[in-house]
Amino acid sequence: MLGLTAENWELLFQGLLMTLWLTLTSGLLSLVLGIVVGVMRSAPIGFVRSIAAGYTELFRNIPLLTVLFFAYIYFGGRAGITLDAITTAIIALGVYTSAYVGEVIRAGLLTVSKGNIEAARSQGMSFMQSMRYVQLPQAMRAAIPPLGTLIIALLKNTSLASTITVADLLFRADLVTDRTFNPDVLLIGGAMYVAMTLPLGALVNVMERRWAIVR
Amino acid sequence: MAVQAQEVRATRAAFDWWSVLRVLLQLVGVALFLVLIPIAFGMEWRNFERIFGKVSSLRFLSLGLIATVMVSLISILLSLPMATGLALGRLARNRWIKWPCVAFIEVIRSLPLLLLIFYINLRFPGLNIFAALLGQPTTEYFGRAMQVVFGEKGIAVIIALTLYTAAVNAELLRSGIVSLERGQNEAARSLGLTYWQTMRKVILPQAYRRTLAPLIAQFTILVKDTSLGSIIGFIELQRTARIIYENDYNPLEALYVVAILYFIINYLLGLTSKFIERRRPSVQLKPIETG
Amino acid sequence: MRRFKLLVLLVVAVLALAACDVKVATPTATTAPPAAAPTNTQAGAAPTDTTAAPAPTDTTAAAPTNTTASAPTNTTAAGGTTPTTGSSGGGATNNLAAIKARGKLIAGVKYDVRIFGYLSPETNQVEGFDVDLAKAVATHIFGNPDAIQFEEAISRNRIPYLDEGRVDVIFSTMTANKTRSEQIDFSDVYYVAGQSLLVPVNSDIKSVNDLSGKRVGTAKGSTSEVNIRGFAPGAQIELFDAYAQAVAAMDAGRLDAVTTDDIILYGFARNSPDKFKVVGGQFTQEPYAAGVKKGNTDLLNEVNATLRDLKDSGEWGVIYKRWIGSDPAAIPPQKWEDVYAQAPAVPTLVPEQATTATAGAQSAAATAAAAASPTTATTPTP
Repeated sequence: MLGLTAENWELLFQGLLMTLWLTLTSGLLSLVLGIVVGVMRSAPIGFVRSIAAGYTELFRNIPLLTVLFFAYIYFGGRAGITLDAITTAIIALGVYTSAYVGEVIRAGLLTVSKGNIEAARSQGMSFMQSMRYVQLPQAMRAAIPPLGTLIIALLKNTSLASTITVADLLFRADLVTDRTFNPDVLLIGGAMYVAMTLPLGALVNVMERRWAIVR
Repeated sequence: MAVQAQEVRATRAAFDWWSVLRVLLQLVGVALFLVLIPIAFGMEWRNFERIFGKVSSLRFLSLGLIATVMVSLISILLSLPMATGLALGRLARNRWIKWPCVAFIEVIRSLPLLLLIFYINLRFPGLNIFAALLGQPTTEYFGRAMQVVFGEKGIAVIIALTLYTAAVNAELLRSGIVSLERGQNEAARSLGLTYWQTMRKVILPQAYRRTLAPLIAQFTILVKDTSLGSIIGFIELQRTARIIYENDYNPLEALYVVAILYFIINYLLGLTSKFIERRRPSVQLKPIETG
Repeated sequence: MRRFKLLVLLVVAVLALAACDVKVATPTATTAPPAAAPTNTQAGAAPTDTTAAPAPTDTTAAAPTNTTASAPTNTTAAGGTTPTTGSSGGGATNNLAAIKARGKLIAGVKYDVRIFGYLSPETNQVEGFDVDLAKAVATHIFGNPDAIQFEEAISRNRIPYLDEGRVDVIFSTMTANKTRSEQIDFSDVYYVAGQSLLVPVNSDIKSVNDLSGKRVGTAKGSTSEVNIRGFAPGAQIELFDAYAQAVAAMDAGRLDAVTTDDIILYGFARNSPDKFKVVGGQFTQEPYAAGVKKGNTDLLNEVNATLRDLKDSGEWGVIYKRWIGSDPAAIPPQKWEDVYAQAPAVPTLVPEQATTATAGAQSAAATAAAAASPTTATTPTP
């Protein structure tokens, strides 16, 4: 197809692997950070809530590209350590996405009924205990479909890592485009993205319907 | 309808101190970060001086700001009618209308925007509206801005952003329309309104109101995504920052300054959504925001 | 609850593996790209793979990923022997008649190369050697230096831009060579540069022979990319869209050296002598020429007539001095082939080139040249 050599195909598939790798690692990082942020946003102390809200608002309102470039420069050596471009991209993507994950977790925590929380607290559980054993497990269930949506967005967002020399799918597609002088190679890369995101989207839809919380 | 109108009046009367407090709380948190970031990342004051101390740098940065704002506004205005059309198309009974709309929405939504921008830029040369229509290049300030926005790269970015945002918002609007009770549609039709009248006068206004918050959240993402234009050489805010730091070697500071500018634009956009919500309270659909 | 703990464990495990993968992969990344002998560097030894980034295989990435990520590519594929460009519609709008009807020339120049084509934040105008030459062409056609519109043409999109008719003419620090001359038509030579290295002032890199295992940045689609792979097979090449991006990355500590034509590098060194220096002398010859779409002969004639006028009248020397800062030693030859044919030995050219540098760059270049000459003498001439 399109007269691509086997070698060019191999480049594209390597890019595909890199994209999946970035999605997986930065997704997990953002989940960890996002749960922390989400819990902080529901904390009983106003100051903690304020910090978490600031974090969320900040990262939701500045472009990912700015975050990526900032991290690329900062972790080049200024930080005292030099991280390679891939690690840098994972950190930047994870931190950026965690603001959105935090919002989802917070919304999930809001679905937990007051009675549940009060019951837990009256049993003598501390805030953290009640959060861990009562609220978070219930919140996660409500949060899973929107988290799926976020994973799709993250998968698409990993394409920005190509701007800081990470050889992901878009980077490879662009490279092969350069080599073959044929912009339509980008469409092959695009088809690969669609092939990954469309099934994920369908899965999210199914989960949304099946796990819908009926009150 | 009368009941609804009363509710609106009631909400207007009561000033919502609680939401103001919440906004202030958020801003305190943001301010904390804005103070802490330069300290944590070891930014230097003299590097900021290189940006703010030079009128030329500020002028240059402002040009990028104009380009970002204009491209965002144009894309928002173009994408809204397109999204409406796509949403109605997807709900249409005629399959020759329905399936192309479905395919368009699903495919464009699944593509990374950066790839879309790359492709449009590479595949469709000669989008230079400025060169074609507006004629002679100019050295005057506003003329330069126009040349950037309506130049080849600017148009490619506008097209990509419009298509992408339209596809995403079409889904939102569709869910807004579907969430309205069927009865409304039937009642309007039985009053003798045509399909278009029903849509224009009854269905769409409500759908817009219901989806207002997620629509504006998507516009925030659009503003952020204008920065992707910098990669194909469109000179907007992110790119002006890059040109400044490639000149003065103050990258952290320059990026920090544009991050604040983006934050201000987007936060104001978010506040308008809150403001409109307050004036015209609506049944909230749960917004799902994505980066 | 057990599930929650398992989830946390999983997250930690995967993150740890991610860190391992990175650590394991880094040495693989630095291992050599193909040892293509630097024989015929100008005529298009093909660029191999771009970044030597490791391909993540799976989470158990203990074994170093094999070097397919940096495997040499088929040398005939990339050289552009069968370019499938050809939005043929673009061509007609770029002939001389169409340009005259339009009333302005559209020229592709660089926006981030000081001295040649630079979008200055101070004036918000593009300026430089290339820009002045393009304006001279506009003057020659229209009698008005302002009847011109500039578009940014970065290294990798220059030739497609001509093919697609986005620009009429390219003045973009472009080296004329055989591979490219099969795709576009070149004008007379207007400058002869040579590839060199830019390093941080405190770097111990003295010449192209010291680059083994170092991270070297350059621009996608440039002859510098092709050349450096031949001259420094042990280096880890990282590619950027533009030189300024690479230099900013070096400033941030991500690169050990940036390589491209010396005159471009002197622009960076001159701007911040406290940060960068040019070392290693010239190890190639790069004749700069303007490009037009293949077959656009009447425009090419106009460009050549302009360049000859400039050279004859001495105006070329004035522009040279305005941007490069010294008087030219010699007027470049007319045909780009002559530059390669004459191909003076590399070391003899270094002192001449050093005079073109000014201020802070000069001393650094001179010392570097002295240090480099014995080693560069062994490198084959292009």
